[in-house]
Amino acid sequence: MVAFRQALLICVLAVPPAGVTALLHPRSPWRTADVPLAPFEVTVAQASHWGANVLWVDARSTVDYGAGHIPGAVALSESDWEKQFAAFVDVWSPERKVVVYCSQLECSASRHVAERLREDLGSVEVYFLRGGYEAWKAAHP
Amino acid sequence: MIVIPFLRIASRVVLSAVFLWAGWAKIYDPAAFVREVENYRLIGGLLARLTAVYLPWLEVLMGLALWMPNLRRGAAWLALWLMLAFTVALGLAWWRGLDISCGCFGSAAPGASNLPLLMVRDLLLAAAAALLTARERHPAERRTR
Repeated sequence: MVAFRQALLICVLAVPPAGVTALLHPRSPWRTADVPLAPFEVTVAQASHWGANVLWVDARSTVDYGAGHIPGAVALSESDWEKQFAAFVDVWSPERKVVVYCSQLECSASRHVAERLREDLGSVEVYFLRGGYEAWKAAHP
Repeated sequence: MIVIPFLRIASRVVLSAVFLWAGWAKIYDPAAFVREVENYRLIGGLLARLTAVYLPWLEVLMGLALWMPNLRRGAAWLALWLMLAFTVALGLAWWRGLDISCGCFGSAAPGASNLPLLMVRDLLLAAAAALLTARERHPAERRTR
């Protein structure tokens, strides 16, 4: 019981410095706008610059996709991969850059779908969108 | 038996050094550590961010607490459970065929890691922590036996 109390105290003592890190650290995850782009990560501005050469891929659930998506985007989520991959291949061509997006900054589905597409297609022109659908909507009010 | 006290000191030194190094390396760049956490595909989003800012400090405090008489048994128990949790996370990543960097020391070692080897390392560290969870007998207590 003493050891448990000690362990609990250590866990509690870690909270304040973690909070300070979250709020003030220059590389805090809550300041990702300042963080350099990861490999294969693109911004809305970059993707928009590619124009019609971009094939948008929506990595969110079919419900979210149905509620609204980037015009021309095809749905392809990890959970429905087997059902949706054929439809994706129908519209994909090697010349087009693929940009995968999920809902927002915190989501990671787009990165995972992009990785899987790069493996399955053998193409390096598969990117994921920083900020996801929320960032795209903010840039296209 | 002189071996056990020696093993306890060696375990304390190694565990403390590993946790201080691992924690400090991650504190240096929490944003990069979020990606390492997400690579395991166990947690994401807000939980991954909270882990990225909390876990490094927990490791640093554990590294220090292992030397504090009033906290060291608790720190040893925490270290044991944390090393077992890391082993499970590595095992799941290996089982799912993920080709990832372990992120054990932040972004200090980019590139794919040898996950089975890291699991063995973490189990050895867990064993070291388990050794420290046992109550240490006072020297006077030992002499009476």
